[in-house]
This record gives sequence, structure tokens and C-alpha cells, in this order.
Amino acid sequence: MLSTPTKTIFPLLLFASVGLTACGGSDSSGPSWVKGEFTDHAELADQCASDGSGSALTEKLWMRSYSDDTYLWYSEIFDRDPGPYEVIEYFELLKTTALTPSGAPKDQFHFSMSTEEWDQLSQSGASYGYGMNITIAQGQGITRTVTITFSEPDSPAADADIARGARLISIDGVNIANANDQGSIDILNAGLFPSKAGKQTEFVVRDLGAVADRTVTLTATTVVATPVQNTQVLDTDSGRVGYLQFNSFNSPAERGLFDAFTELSDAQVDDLVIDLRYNGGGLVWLSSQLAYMIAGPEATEDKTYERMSFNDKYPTTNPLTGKMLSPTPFWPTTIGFAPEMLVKGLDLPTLSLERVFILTTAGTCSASEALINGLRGIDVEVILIGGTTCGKPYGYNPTPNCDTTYFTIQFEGMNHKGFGAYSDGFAPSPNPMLPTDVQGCRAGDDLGHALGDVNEGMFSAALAYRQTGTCPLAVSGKVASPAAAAVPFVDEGFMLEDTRPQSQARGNRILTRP
Amino acid sequence: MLKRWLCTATLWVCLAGCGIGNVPADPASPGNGRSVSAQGQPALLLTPDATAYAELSEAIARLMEMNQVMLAEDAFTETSVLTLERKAHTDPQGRPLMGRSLEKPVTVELQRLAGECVIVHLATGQRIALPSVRCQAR
Repeated sequence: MLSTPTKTIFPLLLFASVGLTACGGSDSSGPSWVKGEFTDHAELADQCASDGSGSALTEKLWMRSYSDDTYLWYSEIFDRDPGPYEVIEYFELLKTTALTPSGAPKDQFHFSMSTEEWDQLSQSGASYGYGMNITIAQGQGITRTVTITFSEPDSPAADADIARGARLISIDGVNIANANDQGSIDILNAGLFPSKAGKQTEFVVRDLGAVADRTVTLTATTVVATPVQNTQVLDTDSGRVGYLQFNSFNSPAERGLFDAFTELSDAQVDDLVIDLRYNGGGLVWLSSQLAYMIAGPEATEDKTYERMSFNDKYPTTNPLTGKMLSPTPFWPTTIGFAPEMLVKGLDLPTLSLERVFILTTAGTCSASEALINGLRGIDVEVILIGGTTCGKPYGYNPTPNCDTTYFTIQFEGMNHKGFGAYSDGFAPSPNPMLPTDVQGCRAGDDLGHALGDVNEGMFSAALAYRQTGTCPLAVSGKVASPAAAAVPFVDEGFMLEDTRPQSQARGNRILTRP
Repeated sequence: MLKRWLCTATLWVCLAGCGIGNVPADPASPGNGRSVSAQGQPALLLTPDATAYAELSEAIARLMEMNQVMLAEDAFTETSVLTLERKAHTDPQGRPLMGRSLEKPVTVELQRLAGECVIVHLATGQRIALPSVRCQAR
């Protein structure tokens, strides 16, 4: 670490240097904005208004230069004078305004947060809560409801027998459907999204199929999620079908997947249904391992799982490290993400399947979509059952400057065939027309049955499609709407609350307007 | 500010071992397996109470140069090694912000060394003593 005097002097030296050279139009008062001219962002970094080492202008010029250098669509940023804008307000403008083929904003993943919040670790899979994952239906003309999508094993919710399909009626005396003032909404949010262990909350619950409500008091604790659940093998007339529910690409999941695929391999399953409806992604290397376990060694040998593509200023090197780009392979052995659970270097179990069924919703995102794309890249047949995935083939290196960490899209992930253009998501379709249409059936998230139940809508559709090759009539017309698509438990810490109407309709925080 | 920048840059190296976008020859190599400088005995908590966890969290935060560390209420009671990841922030739709992460999780180990309990960052061998924590070698 640098000593205090050095810390003080170095930024001043940098600042002086920038003052002489920045932007081609600067004067002794410091850097300034000149349209189309960009100073090296390294020369503008860490010059902050808060401590006097710089100013709001230097912070904005840094993010402008950083975006021009590394943003995937840098040429689509309109270069405007930062002067009239606040720092974060200016960052919000440093992105493309282009639309996807469906008309949605191409960049829906432009974020910033305090570095103090970003620099927090947690034991893998741990979060504060009750262990119940929920989906919220709310918005104009919709009666607000909160329904359990699944509960974590050995959690306060599971101990209280709160299971999928149960509906929360009230929280600490506030009726969920009728709450319409800020005080009541605050009580609901505080109850649903506790920020620390020990908080006690009273819930009135209507269990699935019950005719009466019951009252339970749950105490928030540090819940460690179980990312792989419900692994099972079904014997059918046409062979054995494996199923597993997979919720997050986190460290403990490597052991969970290892065990699940060992079981499925031992059972010699003929087909596999992976339930990714609530899996928003995580570790890319883990998704490459999962793809390997599905496809096996022959299909993946010398193939690329995913290749990162940066902007055209960096065709062969990573702008974030300066190193040569190399593709992510289908990884064949354990990595040991959590060595206390699984050591590195073991051969992964494989099924060597030529096709796989994947259950999806709008909550199926990022590394989950990379799995779909990676398998399609090596001609493993992917059959999607459910809703359109979220559409995030992108990634970034969160970058701090002046106590704020910025998330600006810097790369796109492409499969072995060079395909990565799925910003509108992968859509299940009985008759695929577009490159992002994937053979399969549309079906809604059936909260009336347990996950892994053969009568659950999406799983049953997968089994029926496998049997007949056609989508069952009961689900072919269903669309998994964004409002119905369940999403994981809300971030209980820093609140990145999106106030856009389309997000309010499907967000996972209680909003004032019913 | 500069310290923050350097600390964070250092952390990225510690976490990722490769930096985002750079695929290592062996992704299993960083942060996994014992450092030669870590010479203590793996240990478990004798008194897994709030005081112990507060000291552990604070020590791990210092070790990793992070602001806060969340531990489960039974951490270091069944295994001496613990894996930590960046807190899972989500976007307004509840999806992970880092849905496509190349960060390598970090692993720390509770050890008994020279009569005291220490927490060790396995990738670097750096350690911090835990004067109020009671533990015993496994």
C-alpha cells in the first residue's frame, strides 16, 4: 500500500498532468470537454470532488473516456457536454439508445452503486431472510399478490411448512392486496426483505389448496441456499428421464451438480430436463462445466464454450487486462470453487446427451443463457419449455472511481459458431423462425404444483413434448408473462430500484400503487 | 482514492486470479489449495457465538480489503475452510447483477497456529490473528 504522503501527492501530479494535456482543449484550470476528443481514462481516474483531488467534471470526463474506450457500443454514445449533468445522471447517458429487433432498449444493464456497498463479501450462497423465494404480481389493474415459488431446505420458511404456491395475505398486520399508503408499503417491504438476522415478522399465509389462513412468525436468519435441488429419475415407456432444479451458478453448486450428474449418470438416463426457471446466472466457468456434463467429452473436444467479444478497439486483447483473448472451453474437471465441498481436478460425470430439455422464464439469465447458447454452438439439441429468457449475452468488469462502482457493458459472449445476438432472449417456439427461436413449447410457471412434480405445467409439457414431439394443447397457448415469471429473492441490501413503468409491473419490490 | 483503486485492483487479482475476460490455463489454480506460507493446523470454532463471528467477519474483511463480510451462523463449525463470494446484488428485476461472472471465489481457513486462532487467505497465505476466538485443531 502507498503511504499517506504518496497517496496525496500522486493524484495531484496526475491532475497537473491532465491539466496540461487533457482533451486537447484544456487550460490551467484543468481538463475540459471537447467534442470527439478523449483523454486516456487512466489519466482522469481517482480525481474526485469529494476529497478535493478533482471535481465532478473530472469524474464525468473519466467515465466518458472509460466508456469510449471499453463500452461495447461506444460508437453509439452521443458525446454531450457533461457540464449540465450530475455525475450519476451523466453516467446514465453514456450508453446506446439503440433498440433490439423487438423494440426493447439494447442496453438494459447499465448500473452504478456505491463502492462501499459493492465491496461486500458473503459466505457463498448466504443471504438474510427466511428462505422463501417469492414472486410478486402488481401493477395497474392487477391485484397485488405475493406467492411462494420455493423454499430453501432447512430454512425458517421450510420449518414453518411454507411451500410453493402458498400466498402471503398480510405482513405484520398490513394486508398485501389493499395496502395503499407509504407507511403500509414500508412495513410490507421491511417484512419481505429483512436487512439483518433476528428480525421477527408475522405472516398470514394461505397454503396451496387450503380454505383457511394461518398465522406464522418467522425470524430472519442467514440462510445458505441449496442451488441444486429435486434431482430425480423417472422411468417412462420411452426411457429414463432425469430432472434437476438448478437455481444459481454459485460455488456450492459445483458440488451439487457433481452429485446430481453422478446420480443421473449411474441411472443411465436417456434424457434430461434441467429446470433453470429461477436461475439468473453466476459463474461462467461453472456453466461451461455443466455444458460438459450434459454433452460429454466427444461432443465438446476442441470446441469453444464461449468466446468474449469486446468492442472493435480490442479485437484480440482484453482491454481490462491487456492480455490476449482466449476462448472458454467446455471444462471437463472439477475446479474446486468451494474446496471444502469439492476438491479440484476430478473428472466430471457426463451424460453425453444429444439433446436436453431446459425449463425457462424471464428469470433465466446470463450464465443460464450461455449454457443454452454454448450447447447450441456444438449442435446439442436444446428444447426450451416455458417463457422467453431475459436476453443478457453481455458482461462487464465493475469498475470503481471516486467511491462509486460502475457497470457498463463491455463484452458479448459468443458460442462456437460465433453466435451471441440474443439480446431479446431465447424464445421457445414450436415453429422456430428467428435465430433466437428455440424448438419447444411456451408454458407458464405453474405455481399450483411443486417443482419436479410431473404434473407441474412446464415439466409436464417437457415430458409430453418428449413423448409426442408436439406441444400439449393445454400449454401451447400459454405465455409466461413477465408478471408471472418468478424472480429470485430481492437484493436485501442496496436497492437498485427501477422506477420505469415496465419494471414496476414486474419488479420484485412492493410498490405503492396497487 | 488511489488506495481504493489499488486495493480494488489487487482484489480483482486475488479474486479472479486472471482478471475478467482472461481465461487462465487452469481456472482451478488461484485461491485453491494451501499456500506454502500457511503452516497452522486447520481448526474449528469452540465457541461459535456472536462475538466470535463478529471478530471473524471483521478479520476477513480486513484480509480481503472489503467493507463487510456475511457469515452463516454455523460457519467454521463443520469445516475449517470457507468460500466467500461477492454479495449477490440484483437488478430491479431481481436478477443477479453479475450473472456472467469470471470472479474466482475466495477461500479462507481457520487455523490454530502457535497457540492462537488465525484466519488465513489460502491464495496468498496472509493471515490475521483472532485474539477473542476460541478454536481447536481438527
